[in-house]
Amino acid sequence: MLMKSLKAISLESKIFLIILFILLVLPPFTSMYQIRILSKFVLFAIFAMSLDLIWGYSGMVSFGHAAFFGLGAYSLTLLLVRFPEGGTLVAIAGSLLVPVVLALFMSFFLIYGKVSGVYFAIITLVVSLTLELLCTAWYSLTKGLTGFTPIPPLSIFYLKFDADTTARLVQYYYLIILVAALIYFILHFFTRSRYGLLLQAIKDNPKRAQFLGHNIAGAKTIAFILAAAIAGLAGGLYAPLEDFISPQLLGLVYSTQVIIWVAVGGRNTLIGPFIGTIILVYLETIFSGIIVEAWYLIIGIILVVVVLFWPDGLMGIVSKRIRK
Amino acid sequence: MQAEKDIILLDLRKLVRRFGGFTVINDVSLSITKGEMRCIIGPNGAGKTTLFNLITGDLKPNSGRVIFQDKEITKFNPEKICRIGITRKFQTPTLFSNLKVIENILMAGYGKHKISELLFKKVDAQDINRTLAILEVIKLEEKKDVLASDLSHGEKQWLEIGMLLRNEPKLLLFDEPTAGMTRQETLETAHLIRNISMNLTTIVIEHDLKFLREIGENVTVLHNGKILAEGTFDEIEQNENVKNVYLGRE
Repeated sequence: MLMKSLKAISLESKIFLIILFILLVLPPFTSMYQIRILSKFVLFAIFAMSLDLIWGYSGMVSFGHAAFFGLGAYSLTLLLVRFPEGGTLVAIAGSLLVPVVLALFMSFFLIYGKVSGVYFAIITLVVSLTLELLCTAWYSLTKGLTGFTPIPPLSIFYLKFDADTTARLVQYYYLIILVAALIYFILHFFTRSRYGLLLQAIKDNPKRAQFLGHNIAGAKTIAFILAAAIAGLAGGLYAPLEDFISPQLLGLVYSTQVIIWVAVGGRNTLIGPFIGTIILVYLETIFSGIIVEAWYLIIGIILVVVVLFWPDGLMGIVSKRIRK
Repeated sequence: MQAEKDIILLDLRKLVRRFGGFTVINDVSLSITKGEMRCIIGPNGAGKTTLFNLITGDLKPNSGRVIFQDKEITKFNPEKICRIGITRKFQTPTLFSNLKVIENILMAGYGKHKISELLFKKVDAQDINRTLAILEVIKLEEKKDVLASDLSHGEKQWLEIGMLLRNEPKLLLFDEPTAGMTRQETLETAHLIRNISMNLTTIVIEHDLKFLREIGENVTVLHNGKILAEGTFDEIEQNENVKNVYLGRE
């Protein structure tokens, strides 16, 4: 009986459940610093899964996905600081909704305007850079390059979440893991539904899909908006954890890094970006402690090797089995 | 039933389409009655595919109107035109090549669903059964789990025809369905299309005369963007004008 129900779970979800289990039992064996960076890894992994929804699953290459992540971080922070009466839930809602509004606006011009391929990538990059500049320049609102700190803790049902004490940090860690699990399973059902198949079909041959009656712009817009909301939420949860946000979060650095995480992990799977992110961010933490500038060189080499030899990323090797 | 046969399903009224200074479709009026099977023939560049592009909303005419079921659809976009019942087969197999054969047909079945009916809903047993029924018609049951890109050319053409059937159109447009097929495949395809057109209205663009003889239905000859002749295949075969510009070359 148990064997049967285990078989019904896809290989991808099995791997995810194993990772989830490891993450859940880790805290007693780790230091506060390690929990803090692990929380960050998981948030970045959520961010990477959201990019893969539009890149791997829907075929839209965005070079500006950090715009949503950073916007989520700033929305949550500014709501917590300037509108404390609203409380945590309003702030979290803001970190979801503000990126969604931007995504809706962008969809109208990019998706309904039939912008595709490299032009889509360039325009999303410009949006990301513009927001970074705006955030830098608008000092009275965002404190510009100085960055925003301190950031008030999240509080839900008398529980406080930030990195100030071990107890609060462990709570925060579990909250982030809960969110990661929820988002993984939402995306899992999303991509394996009829709609997920439609996204694959549109990526494959938009013309055929359109001439079978499918609303391709509508289908892409839904994926784009969902990805923006998830990236925004990840960014929102990032702010009180780091206790510091700066315009960099919206810009080129994170936008390109997340692309590398997804490419290395493996597009068109959920677990690929998740694992790819954790491995690369972990390596970055180690190497940038030793040789700061060399990290970008190393990650560049990793990217070139992956693109040349494993275009489907680490998960590409097993992806045919995973997708079943 | 007899009365239904005379209902005009598709009515093209004085369609004109120019590319630059060149008139590709020049004042074409054409009526297709319900249940009819119409063949359109004509030399290369006669405007046959452009005519399909105008009907399906891929191109907009410079002037003239497209009427389907007494409703003007000239300005509709392609997916809307498909949703009201016109589906087309492209000249080269146009499939989802990275999806499995069965998934290709499934996607055709979902074509007229709202996105809300697709979100978070799994492919269910009913979808699968309908898909399998189509695979039986196009004889691809055994290849249902093969990627569409791994099929032979003839199989791809048949898969696309299967997708069109699953899309449940009222009017089916075939753009050279036997292009690149062997003699045997051409005959089988003609037979298949003939069976399909028993219950459907179809328009077929075809070059292949063997195919036309096999079908033997109403034929419209297009030449330089104009209608040159209309009639049964036998009438067309005897028509002097047609002989000169088209058949005479054989």
